[in-house]
Amino acid sequence: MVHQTYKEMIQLALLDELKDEELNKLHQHLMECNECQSEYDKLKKYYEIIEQNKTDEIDELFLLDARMQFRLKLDYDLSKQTIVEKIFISFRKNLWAYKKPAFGVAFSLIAGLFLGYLVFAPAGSVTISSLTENLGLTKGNSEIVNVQFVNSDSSNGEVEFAFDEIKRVKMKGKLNDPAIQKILANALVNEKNPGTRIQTVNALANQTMENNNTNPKVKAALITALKFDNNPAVRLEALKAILYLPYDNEINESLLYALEHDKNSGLRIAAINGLASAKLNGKSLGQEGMKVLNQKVKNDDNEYVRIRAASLLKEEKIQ
Amino acid sequence: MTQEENNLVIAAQNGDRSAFEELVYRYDKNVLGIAYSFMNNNEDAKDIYQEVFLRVFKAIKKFEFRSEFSTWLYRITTNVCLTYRSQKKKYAYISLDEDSEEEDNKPRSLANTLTDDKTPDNDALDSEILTQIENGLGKLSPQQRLVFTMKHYKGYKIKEISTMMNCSEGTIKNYLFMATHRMRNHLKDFIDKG
Repeated sequence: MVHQTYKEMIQLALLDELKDEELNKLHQHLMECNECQSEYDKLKKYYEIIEQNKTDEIDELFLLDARMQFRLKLDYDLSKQTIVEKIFISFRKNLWAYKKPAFGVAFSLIAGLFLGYLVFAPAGSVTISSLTENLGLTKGNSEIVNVQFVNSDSSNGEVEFAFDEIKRVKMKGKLNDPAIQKILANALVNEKNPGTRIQTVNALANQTMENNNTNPKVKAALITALKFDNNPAVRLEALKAILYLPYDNEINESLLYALEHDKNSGLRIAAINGLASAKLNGKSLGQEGMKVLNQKVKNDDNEYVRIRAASLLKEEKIQ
Repeated sequence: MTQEENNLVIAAQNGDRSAFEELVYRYDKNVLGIAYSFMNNNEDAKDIYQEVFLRVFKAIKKFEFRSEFSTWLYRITTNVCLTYRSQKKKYAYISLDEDSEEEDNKPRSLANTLTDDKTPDNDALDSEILTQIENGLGKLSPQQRLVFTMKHYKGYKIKEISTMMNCSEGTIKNYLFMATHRMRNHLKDFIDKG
C-alpha cells in the first residue's frame, strides 16, 4: 500500500471514518513509517485548529428570526396566487364535491331531451315526404282531415279508416333549385286556390324568362296548366311562361291545343300570337298546325283569331 | 421515520399548515446551521432557509416516502446551498486580504457572527487563523466547501453526506481530501508553528 493511501487513511482515521481493521493496519504502519507518522501529526494539528475555530451552534434568536421571516414569505407567496390559480386549486381540492351536481345536471339534461323527444317527435305512422325531409323544412303541427272509414263494422272491436294528414311546411329557397321547382310544379297542377296557382305560375314564368328553364317537370306543369287549368288567368300566365321556353313540338302542340280548345278568346289570341312568333323565328307549325289554322279561319268567333290564322296559313303554304 | 412523523407528512400533504410547520420546527435548526456554516453569513443563511422550506412546501405532495423525510429535506438543503452559492459568485472571489472600505459588504467572520462576546482584546493569533480559514473556504468549490462544512462543522458521517448530496461515498471522500489539501496550505504557517 503506497504512502498516499495511508495519508488518506490518516484523514479518515482522524475523522472517525475508519473501520477497526483498517485502523489497526494504519497504526501498524505508523509505527514503522516516520513520513506517515509526521503526516499524522500535522494532520492532527490541522484538525485541532479547525475544531477549535468551528462555528458554534446557532442561537435561538437567529432561529426565531429565520422562522418569522419564512412564515411571512410563505404567506406572501400564497397571497400572490392569482384568482385563477385559487379557483383551480379549490376546484381540484373539491373535485369530488363538484362531481355530484355536475353529473346531476348532465343526467337531467339528457333525461329532459329524451322525454321531449318522446312527447314531441312525430309518430311512426305519420310521415312526410322524403323530399321535404331532405330539404330541412320547418315542421309545423299536422292536421288530420278527410277521415274516411274503410270498414265501418266495429263489432269486433277494431276500426279501419284512412285520413289525410296536413302538415304546414315553410320553406325558402332559390327558384332555380330543382327541389323548389318540383314543389311549385306540383302546386301549379294540384293547388285548389287559383290565386296560389297564379302566384306559382308567375314565379315559374319569371324563372323561365331569366334562365330558359328546361326542367321537364316545370315544362310539363306549365303545359298542363295551359291546357286544363279552369282559371283563364292561370292558363294565360302559363302560356306566357311557355313562350320563354325553347320552342319544340310539345310547346307547339300545347299552343295549338289552346288555340283550338280554349273558350277564352284572349287565350286563343295569345296562343296564335305565340305560334306567329315561332313562325317568324323559322319554326314550322306542322300538319296539325295547318289543320287547326284552317278550322280557326272558318269558325273561330273572334275576328282577330280568324284573320291571324288566315295570315299564318298563307305564310305556311308559301313555305 | 416514526409513525407520528409519517402522519405529520400526510397531513401536510393534505394542506394542513400546522402539520407542515411542526415538520419545519423539527429540522429547521439543522437546516439553518448547515446554511450558515456553508455561507458564513446570516442573511444568506436565512435566504437559504426560506428557499429550502418553500421548496419543501411546494413539493411535499410529491414526497412518496421512498426515503426518510429528513433525508429528502437535507438533499433539498444541499441542492439549495450549492445553487445559491453558484448564483452568488461574489463569495467565491471575496478575499479578506483585499482592501475594502465597504465593511458592511464583507462576510462576517465565523466567530464574531455567532459569538457576540468576542472583543478586540481577543487573541490576535486566533483572529488571523479565522481569517485564513475563511479565506481558504472561499476558494473551495461549492461541493468541497459543503462537504467540509457538513463534516467538520456539523459532524455528519461521510455516508450521510453522500446520501444528502446524492453522491457516492468515494466522491465525498475526494471532495473532502481536496478540501483538506487546500485548507492545509492556507493554514500551513499555523500548523508548522504547532
